Amino acid sequence: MERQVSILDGGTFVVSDQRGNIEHSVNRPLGLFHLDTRFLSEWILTIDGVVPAALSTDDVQYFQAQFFLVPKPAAMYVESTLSIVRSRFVGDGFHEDLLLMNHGKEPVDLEVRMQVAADFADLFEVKDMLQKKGEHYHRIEDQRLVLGYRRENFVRETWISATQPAEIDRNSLTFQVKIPANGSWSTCLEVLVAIDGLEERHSRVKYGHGESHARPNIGTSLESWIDSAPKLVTSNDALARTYERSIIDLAALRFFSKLMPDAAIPAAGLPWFMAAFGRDSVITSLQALPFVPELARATLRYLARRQGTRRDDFRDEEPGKILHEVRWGEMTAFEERPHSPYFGAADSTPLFLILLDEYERWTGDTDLVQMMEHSARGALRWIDEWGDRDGDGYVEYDTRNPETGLENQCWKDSWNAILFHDGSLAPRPLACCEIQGYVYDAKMRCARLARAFWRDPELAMRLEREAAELKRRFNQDFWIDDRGFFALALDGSKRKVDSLTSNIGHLLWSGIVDESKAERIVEHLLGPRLFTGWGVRTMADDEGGYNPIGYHVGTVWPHDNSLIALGLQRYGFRVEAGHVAMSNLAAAPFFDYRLPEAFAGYPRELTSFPVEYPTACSPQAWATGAPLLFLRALLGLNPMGNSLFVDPAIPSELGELQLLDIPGRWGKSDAFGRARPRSLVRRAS
Amino acid sequence: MEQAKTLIEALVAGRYDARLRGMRKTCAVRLGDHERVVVEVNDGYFGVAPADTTEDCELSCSLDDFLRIFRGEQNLITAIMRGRVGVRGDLAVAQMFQSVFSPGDQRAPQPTR
Repeated sequence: MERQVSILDGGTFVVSDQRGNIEHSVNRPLGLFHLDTRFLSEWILTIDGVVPAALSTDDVQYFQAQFFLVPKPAAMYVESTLSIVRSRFVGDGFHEDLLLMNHGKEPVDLEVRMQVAADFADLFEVKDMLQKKGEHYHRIEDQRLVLGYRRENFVRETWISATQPAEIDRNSLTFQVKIPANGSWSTCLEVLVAIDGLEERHSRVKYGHGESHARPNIGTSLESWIDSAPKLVTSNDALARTYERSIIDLAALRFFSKLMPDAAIPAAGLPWFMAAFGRDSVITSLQALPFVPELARATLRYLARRQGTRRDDFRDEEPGKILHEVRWGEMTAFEERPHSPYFGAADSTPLFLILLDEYERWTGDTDLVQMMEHSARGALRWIDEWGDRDGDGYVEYDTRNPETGLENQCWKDSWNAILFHDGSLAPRPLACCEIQGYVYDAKMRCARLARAFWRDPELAMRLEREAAELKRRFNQDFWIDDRGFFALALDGSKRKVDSLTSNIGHLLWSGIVDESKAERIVEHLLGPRLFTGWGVRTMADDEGGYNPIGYHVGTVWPHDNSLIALGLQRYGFRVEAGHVAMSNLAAAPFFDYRLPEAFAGYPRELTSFPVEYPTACSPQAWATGAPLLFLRALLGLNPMGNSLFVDPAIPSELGELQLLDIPGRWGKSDAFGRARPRSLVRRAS
Repeated sequence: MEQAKTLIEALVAGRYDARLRGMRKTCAVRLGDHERVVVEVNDGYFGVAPADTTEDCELSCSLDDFLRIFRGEQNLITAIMRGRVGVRGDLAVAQMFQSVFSPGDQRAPQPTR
């Protein structure tokens, strides 16, 4: 697959080919995107009518990329005397420095042309190939090309300008260039997201000429962010690079929502999910808690502020429910999509409660827990009164918006994710197993919060009682005795959806699994049907619906594996946790040390490298967080009171591992671990 | 226009939103050229502020649109996104006032079962 180059800054990002060009097509959703709208759909450089070829490309920093080009070679050897350098910086649009160098002994006359277009497509229109309903317009003013779009009062504009004189028409900026022998020519190009509909007009892009120092929109600079993260000391180069990449990508994915501009939450992923997501933000924040706890605080505040307050079937909103996704594009504005915000997730509410407790355990920030009491109680009420739709004691989901709502409202949210063993679709409403685990965990954790901080021992006792009863019933109702694992879900007729999936690993993480059943679960997770050698695949390879390149029915998801590893550690299967962690981490070097959202679920013996999943997001927040959670599992990190408890189980291939300056309620603490013979790794009690 | 002002005063009287505890923010609503009402939230409690209060954000729209939002026929955030409601200043503050201007938000219907 041809490599794409992505750079981003908050909610603005540019995806181009490796020449720096943007030439969108159905298969290649390239462009300049801002607030879920594509403000530039063509940006193609030609020299004398020919598109230059790429020599080298470097996405130097998360907001900056450089492209080194030559005029397209006619033969296999490049003997050009002209070289071209494009340096691009994204922020409220982008700034591009275009430099042409003539290495020849004669002057050259060139026509340098930048072909431009802006389709102002909503990201949903890009994904679903839908037609626009408004009108495009353009105007040329003050050496500036303005490309615009209008539908009623919905107006978006892109302004394009250059520092060198150019002939401008509606499709291009053209420069007639004369470069002396051994000379050069350059111009700055600015593409400004001038009217994005939500703020007063932007008047300039964020980075001007010569500015290459990252400036966060708010909060911590990249340097401070990296400096304040714990230091990993390891002789394993791949792990060190993967860790470094994760920390930088987490910084890059910090997203400043229009609805809470004073704090950064993790956006879900590039390019499709540069938006606030309940589930993704919570899980990423959980993964990152021992490293950058401030993400969790911002996520909790943001989600609480936008907690559901009423029943709104279009948005699948219910009182107390935590949102699923927020979008700002045209289709959301005109209510052709429900994302303002959309609440179609049945797991984000218990996950929110889990994060609240985990955040306090790591940071000791009791003020936030007290401030969140109202929201937490609302979330608990949602679980019992709305999440459990039929009063059977389990949270189940079905969209109230059959036209544009999500059919599946668990983490495996593609339409064909929940399948029986024979491959047939499970009818809704669906009570997915891992959501019951999350509910169990959320109630246990909120019992602690109620007792310790909300001065409500009665609530604590009730929650503990309900959690215990849920665990007892779940271990009966979901267990498939003859196959030795938990059903993926109960369907609308309360039948067990009997396919073997990675979801059972989440159950270990939640603690809902009876000790007596844990070993059989582990055998499945590490067995040949689920374990690929690169990690645990989402669905076992002998299931009717299995597809190694099916989004949720056979691929390997690093975030899924990280939660599984933590679950294995929780139940004392520490060697197995290490095995899952190391198999995933072994895949990272094949993806430039950046684990993608998902990769194909082929067995490792089939290929010597993990096979890419074609449309996977990268970077993707919870894949970025996965290596962090693997480290936590390997080192056995857990807060205990005001101390950090460290109980490492380091795989032999890692030798020694040190994680220094781990932030938390203890200030800063260090964790050390070294590999021991397998027989000496004890099971946790 | 007096109708709108009276309506807003009635809407905010005695309103409380626990999620906004600890916050003090103001939002001006401008209906046409002359009508301007400033609403404030102070530690979760809503009230009408003096007209010359400096606002954190200002919403401007026609009376028709305001009434559509009030009646729950139009979502405030999508109205802003579509340009039917102009917003100046902090959008986050505008969103805090959604529950006041769209009282349907406060209705808590019974669960489905």
